[in-house]
Amino acid sequence: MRLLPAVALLVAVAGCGRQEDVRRYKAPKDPTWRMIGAIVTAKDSTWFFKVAAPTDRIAACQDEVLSFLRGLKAQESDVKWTLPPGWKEEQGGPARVASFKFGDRDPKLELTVVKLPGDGGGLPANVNRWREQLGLERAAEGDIAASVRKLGEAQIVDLVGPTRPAMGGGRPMVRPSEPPPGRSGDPKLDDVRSMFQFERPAEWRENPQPDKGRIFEFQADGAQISFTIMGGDGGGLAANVDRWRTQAGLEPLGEQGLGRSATPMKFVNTDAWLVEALGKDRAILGVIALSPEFSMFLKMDGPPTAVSAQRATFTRVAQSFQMRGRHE
Amino acid sequence: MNSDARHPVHRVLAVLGSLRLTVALLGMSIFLVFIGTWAQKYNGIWTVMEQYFRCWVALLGGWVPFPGGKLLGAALLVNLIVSHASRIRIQARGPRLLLGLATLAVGFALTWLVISHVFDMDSTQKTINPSKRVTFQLMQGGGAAAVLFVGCWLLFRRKAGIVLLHSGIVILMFSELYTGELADEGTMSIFEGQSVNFVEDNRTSELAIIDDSSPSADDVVVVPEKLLKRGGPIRLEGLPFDVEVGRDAFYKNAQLSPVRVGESNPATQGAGVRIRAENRREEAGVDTSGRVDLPAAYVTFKDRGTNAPLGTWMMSVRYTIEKGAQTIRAGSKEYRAALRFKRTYKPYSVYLSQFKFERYPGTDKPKDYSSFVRVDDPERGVVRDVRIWMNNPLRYRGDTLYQSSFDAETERGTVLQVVDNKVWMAPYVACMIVAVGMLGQFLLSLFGFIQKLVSR
Repeated sequence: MRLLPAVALLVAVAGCGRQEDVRRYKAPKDPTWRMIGAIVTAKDSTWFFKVAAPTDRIAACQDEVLSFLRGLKAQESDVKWTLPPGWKEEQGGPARVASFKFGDRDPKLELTVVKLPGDGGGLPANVNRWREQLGLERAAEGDIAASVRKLGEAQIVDLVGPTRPAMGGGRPMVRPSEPPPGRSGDPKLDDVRSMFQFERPAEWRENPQPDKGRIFEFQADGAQISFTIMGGDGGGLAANVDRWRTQAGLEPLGEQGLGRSATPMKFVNTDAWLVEALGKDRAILGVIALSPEFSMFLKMDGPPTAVSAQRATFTRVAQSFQMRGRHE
Repeated sequence: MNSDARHPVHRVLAVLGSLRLTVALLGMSIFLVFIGTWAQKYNGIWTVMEQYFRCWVALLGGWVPFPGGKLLGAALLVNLIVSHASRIRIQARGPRLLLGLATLAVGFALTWLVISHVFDMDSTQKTINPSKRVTFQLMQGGGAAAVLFVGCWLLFRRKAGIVLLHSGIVILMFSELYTGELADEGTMSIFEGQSVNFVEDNRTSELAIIDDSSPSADDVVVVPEKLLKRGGPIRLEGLPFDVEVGRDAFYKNAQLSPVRVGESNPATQGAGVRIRAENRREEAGVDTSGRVDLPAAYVTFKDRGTNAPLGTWMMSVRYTIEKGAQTIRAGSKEYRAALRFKRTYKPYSVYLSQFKFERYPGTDKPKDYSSFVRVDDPERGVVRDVRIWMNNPLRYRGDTLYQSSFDAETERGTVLQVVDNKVWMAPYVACMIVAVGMLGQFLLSLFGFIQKLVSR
């Protein structure tokens, strides 16, 4: 009889535990994020209006947002608007023309206004950038038009996706054990560097401690050569080409001008573009390889004479870029 | 030789309740703790917990069998109960016995009330000073322990303190057993303006296959990490396909990189065509950076009818966090599939109005982290604004929501630790019972000694 409590105890202890089986259940819908974007074309510039928030919050203010966007008017190189009652205009940040706060609960919703020169990279590139920010797949160029509607002078894009819009898509709030390769502050730079092999010309001097965010850095004849990897598509091809063209003192060409400014090639065995921006005082020759997850940039930047002198070597190095196999 | 030793049952009892067994079990426990601590140099703390402590048999170094934490704990518990049952006799008779039993019953009831009452406290309505709260909890435990001591004194007289303090140890052991087996813990990551109604346990993952065709709710099938780790075919009831995880195709911690040309790639569909997952060492328990493991797996989906593969997908927690679920097409129907941290849904949601991170003026030194949240419980019709900050958790529906971390990049997102542990008060009560037992035993001995002196 005295053993009874002990036996009962053992049975009880052995009997409890977590169930580790396949389970099936009904769950509330996953929280989604919605983004309403508007693109307005003005003279020599394109204006982007964007508000993103959890879907239920946008739904509550949808009418006033659409009414605001319907009222946008392009006047020469400016865009005019009328603020709905209760909206508060705030000073824009360095990249913003303005931002507006509104909504009935905290935190207030924020609609941002950004102005870019030319066509700002074009409609397809921007729609796809927004899609990716929401964790959606890129849409084929032919399908873009179907997701855009006209409202007054604005082209409206209304998207719903699973991740919180942020540059390069969602981010984990947990601290992962490994950041994506090439992200600034990456403590495992040597690991990323060891993944690549390529020809290193004798006349190129390597900087063993490249600038923040860069994987490799070289100097040759006064030109600087750098290799960078970014998470996400890095903003799209047209936006990057135009950024380089602007740095070289050239006019941005937008999506339509890509054929003139970029030549297809292979880089690290993926599809890439060779981009040349030859300005009067500054020239940039670079390779851009984009994918939804990682984008690679090999760039030579310097005086036009130095860049021209190194052009052939640069192209040869770009073609030699490979990733090492796992066995190495 | 006495009559107890001759009887086989008593012989077994003598072994089970022997002090030698206690010493041996304690020795083995100390050794296991040492080995488990050493193992944290190489493995994560939760892997070590599972491999050494929350198991019946631990494999030291991966192959030497040794009693696990559960076995040692259960054996110590049995040893404790049997030794007390065989050595300590009830000293009371008649009315004193009845009074002692009644007092003990009251003491047990009070103890149970203390353990179970506080978790019902709805702190959305109260703001309690943290130091006062702990004192109040200890006082509650102390009160129950005092009543128990009186009951023990009526029944066991001079051994009352010994019985009581060992009862406290039993409660402590049971509370750890309950916590290990049944308590749930996870985090709620919420950005400002977002409402979240589930917690994620970042110590373990699950493969979720979601049918989101209904506008009201998702139909979800989840496969726990343990089954994915084990590998082999896994049947998914209610779905037109099953899944199979290859041998060594589950990585507890993985890094993602672009697929290299010329390499063999197990993935034939989805993101894995472009991104490969590579095994990476688990974050060690001794690592103080607070990083978490992000698992990944190569999962093959097979048609239920024909057993023909629909394709092999690379599933990764990191990919899910950054890009969301991937699409699986079976016939004309689409499902979403994701490897994600284990998720537990709550009957309430938490909306983050504001996250506030204050620093001491002119420095980066943190002064205060606060989350201003709105708890929305449609089932109970509760909508309430609450502030959660350091050492001031929110207790609601048996859960305790602590301010745990925040989104360092934007400082506009909070991470709340959500603990569902029905017996969180038990260790407080057990400690007070042990303390009262020790104090009581000391006083009984002291009074006995004084009595002897006086009688001489």
